[in-house]
Amino acid sequence: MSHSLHRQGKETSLKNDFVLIALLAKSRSGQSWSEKCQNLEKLANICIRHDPDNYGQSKSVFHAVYTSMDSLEKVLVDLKRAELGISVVVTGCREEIIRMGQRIGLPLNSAHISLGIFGNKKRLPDERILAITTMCGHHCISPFLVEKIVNDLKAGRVKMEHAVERLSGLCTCGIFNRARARGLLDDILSSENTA
Amino acid sequence: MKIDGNKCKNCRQCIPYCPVQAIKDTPKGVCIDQDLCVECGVCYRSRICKSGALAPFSRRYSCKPIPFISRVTGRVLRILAGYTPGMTHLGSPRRIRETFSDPFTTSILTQISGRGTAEIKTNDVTGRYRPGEIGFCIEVGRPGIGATMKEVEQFTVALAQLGVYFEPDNPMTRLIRDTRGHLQKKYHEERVLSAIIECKVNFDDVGNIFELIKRLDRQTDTVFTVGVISTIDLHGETPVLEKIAEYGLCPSTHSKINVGLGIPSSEGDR
Repeated sequence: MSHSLHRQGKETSLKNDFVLIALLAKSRSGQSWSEKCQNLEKLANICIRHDPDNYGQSKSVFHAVYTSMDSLEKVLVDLKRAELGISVVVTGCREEIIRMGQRIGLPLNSAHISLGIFGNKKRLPDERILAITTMCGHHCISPFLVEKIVNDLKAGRVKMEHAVERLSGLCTCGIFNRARARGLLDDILSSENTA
Repeated sequence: MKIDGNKCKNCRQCIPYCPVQAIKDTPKGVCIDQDLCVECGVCYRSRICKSGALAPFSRRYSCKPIPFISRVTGRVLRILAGYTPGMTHLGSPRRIRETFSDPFTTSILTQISGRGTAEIKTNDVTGRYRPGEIGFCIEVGRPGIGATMKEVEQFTVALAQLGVYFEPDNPMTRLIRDTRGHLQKKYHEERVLSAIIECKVNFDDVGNIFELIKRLDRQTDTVFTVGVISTIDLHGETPVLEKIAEYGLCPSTHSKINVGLGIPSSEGDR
């Protein structure tokens, strides 16, 4: 599915948000399924070595979140060198990723471009809340929980680190950008303090 | 999902965890509106209920917490309420709520986990989308509002009229019962967190889809997201961007890019 696409928010907060997804394909590519699984483990090791903000994995998928283009580039250089034969997609600023891909010699294949949200947008929560909830593409993070957490933070009932962990724990894929969430929660708190 | 009234302490802690506000605080205590509940399992997996009152209908879930451990580092990534990824045990038609809402469910329709498919994620291997073809992922109910299957049908019927090719591995496609895009009636009232309609057309026909998106934007009561899929040429260009602008739509600067590290299938899957 397209769960890392359609992340909402201002460009300034999205510019340091990159999601890497590696997925095993059921195909006749010469590798057995067990070879592919071993290669996925190698891929995960490479990705984790570059200090992702968050990551998650299941049998045939690995997800990681990076907070800078520099880290992402280093990961992709290492993955290209490793020649594991596993499909990798990266979500982030399209032009930057394409430029970087061409620079490091990646055979870019295809793009999934977000046209955004349509329909009865009056039903959506506040855009600042939406910027947080859309970091879980399966929408396992309730906007009402984010509102409660903001209130708990304001009242000093919870610390920022615990608040972010609580939200992050609901995103079972591990594509929730914790550093960005911290920044977004800080922004909400500071805007409400000045209001 | 249901709440065991004998165990519930009325602490109300679970209420904000529900993404669709199906957990209600009533004079008789906390209960779940079964019409609104999309069976996403978020409340249960959060382990917010310390008295064990949240009780899933699906037998995939157990009460024992299970640590979700990285196979690479051995680090505990998160603790989940016990679950077994796999087939739903809910009866029909309610089971499709789980298929389209709970990321841990394997669709009984396609045997594929999640509510969509690999779309471009493995396109370098499968060649699902080829030059000259444009894919669309229209996710009805996203982000976080949800939709009934009757609302989703509005989209499938309109797309079928345009003669699109629906992705056969997508669970949504399996619910379409005729060439006019109608869904099986028994599912109409079922509510899901989001349903992804995946289809593709030839490049020359994309304008019709863009016009349809603009029409549905005005007509639907729920929300939907649109993703457009295109191959990238040797110069790093995606020609569909010009078409998008031509029809007055505004692409996000963010995209998902398949960087081409997979090994192309030797025989081709399609």
